[in-house]
Amino acid sequence: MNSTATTDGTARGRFRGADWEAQQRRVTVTVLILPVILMTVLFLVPLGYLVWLSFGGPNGPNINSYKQLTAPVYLNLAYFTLQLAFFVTVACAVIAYPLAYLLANIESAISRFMILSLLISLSLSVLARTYSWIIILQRNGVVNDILQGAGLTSQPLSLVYNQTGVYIGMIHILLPYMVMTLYPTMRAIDSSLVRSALSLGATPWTAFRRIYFPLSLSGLVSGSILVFMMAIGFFVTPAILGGGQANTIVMAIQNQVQVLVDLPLAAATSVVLLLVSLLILVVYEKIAGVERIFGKGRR
Amino acid sequence: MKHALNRRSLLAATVFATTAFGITFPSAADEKAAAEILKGSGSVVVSTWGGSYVEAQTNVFFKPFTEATGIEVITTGTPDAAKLKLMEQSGNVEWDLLDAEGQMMMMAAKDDLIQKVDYDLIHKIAPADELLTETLNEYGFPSVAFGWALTWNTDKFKGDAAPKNWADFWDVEKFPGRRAVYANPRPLLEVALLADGVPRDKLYPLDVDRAFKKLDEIKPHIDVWVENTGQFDVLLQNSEVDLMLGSLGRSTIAKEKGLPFDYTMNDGLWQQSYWIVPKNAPNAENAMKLIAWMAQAENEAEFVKKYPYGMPNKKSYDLMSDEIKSKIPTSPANLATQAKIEPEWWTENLEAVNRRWLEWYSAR
Repeated sequence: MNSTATTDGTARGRFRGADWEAQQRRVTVTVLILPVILMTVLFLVPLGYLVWLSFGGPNGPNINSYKQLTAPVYLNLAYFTLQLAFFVTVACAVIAYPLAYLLANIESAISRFMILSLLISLSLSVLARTYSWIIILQRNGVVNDILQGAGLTSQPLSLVYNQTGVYIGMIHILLPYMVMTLYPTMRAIDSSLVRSALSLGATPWTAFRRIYFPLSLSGLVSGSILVFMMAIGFFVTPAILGGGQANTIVMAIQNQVQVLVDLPLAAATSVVLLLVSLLILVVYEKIAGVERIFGKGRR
Repeated sequence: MKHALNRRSLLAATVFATTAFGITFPSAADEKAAAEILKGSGSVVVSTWGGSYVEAQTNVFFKPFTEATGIEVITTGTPDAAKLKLMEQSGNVEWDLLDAEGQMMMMAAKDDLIQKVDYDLIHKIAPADELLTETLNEYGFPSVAFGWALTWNTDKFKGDAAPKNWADFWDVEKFPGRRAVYANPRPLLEVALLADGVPRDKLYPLDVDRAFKKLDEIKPHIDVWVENTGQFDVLLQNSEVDLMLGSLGRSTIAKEKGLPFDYTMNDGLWQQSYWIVPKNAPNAENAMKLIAWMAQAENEAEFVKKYPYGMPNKKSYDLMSDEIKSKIPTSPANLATQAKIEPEWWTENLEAVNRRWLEWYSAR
């Protein structure tokens, strides 16, 4: 035993390698144990509880709550919510893309200042930002004063307490998230790639379309998913700026919890909302490739 | 209706008990006697509405209560029916006393989540004949009564040109302008029926079909549906609307601040909130003692100086100035021109009405 162990260098080396790998695994497991416990306790257990509650909770299991959800009113609210989230996401993408491009490609005090302002607006309370839009958009607000003062309109425009107000408010609140996901992706794009394309005879449009845009796509996809998911769950802004003209499914959940105190129904609505979001994520993954979101890209 | 009967028979019983045994307790006038009866130890956790409201409650009710009885009062987050249900289900009740809306009390009582009020104890401090009987309930002791009132912009409608009742609110030709209402079937159904000519004392049981038909008429003319009562302040401050179904408390404050708004007590609606005690409240006894303490007329008269809400002790109205009394929905003069919102009816019909409301409200 001694002779083989001491003389056979390769066997010993292999043994050492396995030992090292086992140790690595132990380290990985030890390091991961805390996040796994946290994930389980903070996400999976509550989620399981929510699902259990949606099937009747202590009085279940039954599917009464899910049956109630087939009422047209809930389907309409869900449809409107998805539509709202979709258009807000598209608008955010269209506005954020050129903005992030400028911020990522132009080095100046102004771009640094703009990034700072975006970060500051992210840290402000959504409630305060929502109410400030009322001050700006209301009947006697700044915008209407300017328009009427300049003689552009004779009557105050209805800019808030309707869907217009909700779109303005939600796009404003969610835009920084889109910019902040696009910006690092764009910063990481090697500008020499675009320059090479141009020097090889590509038009600027072709260089953008075939080089820059595909490379920035991962940021756009992750930004869109982030904004869409947040938009689906938005409550304060549609409730306040909508003035009753933009009712979302989340407002129905609030009604179920606070007015009806029907927790199984509220849980069932939440579960369906979650499933719809996941479904959209899956479809999106088929189209855009979800691994891009996590920055793995092609291995 | 079951509750109403219970409430009445219970009251009759307590009145009988106190008179039969010939016990006449000192009315609230004597705070020292009250303190003697209510002396205790430990604490009581109160879930109430926060902000300047809880500040007023603390200064007027809670602090003097602690000084007099030795029971510490801890205030915490706003009352929430769903939270109460979960607390009771899990057996881990953190609240001893909640400042709940009438409907929340009714539903909690139906679900067996709260306990009966200890009227024997309360009547030692505030005898039955001192209390406004229409506000008492077996499962809750009245905390405050708040109101809804027709409110209008005085720049737009001056003097006699002002709207006088809900029929005027519905009349968009005689009273053109932007309109706001509270986006909730309670009190909107009541308001619609009043606008349709139903007498104030014949509202219940509500004719839901008739109410929704009347609401159809006004729906296209409503510019702002108020989801959260805090929004009323924003609408008032900025003259966003010309007429509204507003919160009486907030309209009063706006008028006092000098904003161009006025309101009428005519056709107003009032709604009672209640102190309720969870079934498994750890300090239920202290909670009942605090309720009894707050029922004293002097304390209530002091509280309304900060918040002009309705109080359950009839004697407290004798201690208020006429100016304050005019603002309170349950003062004798105002009771006559207003309608009471019945939580009993709402609890029985909530689910059906709520579903119909949600359909009606979100169809555009």
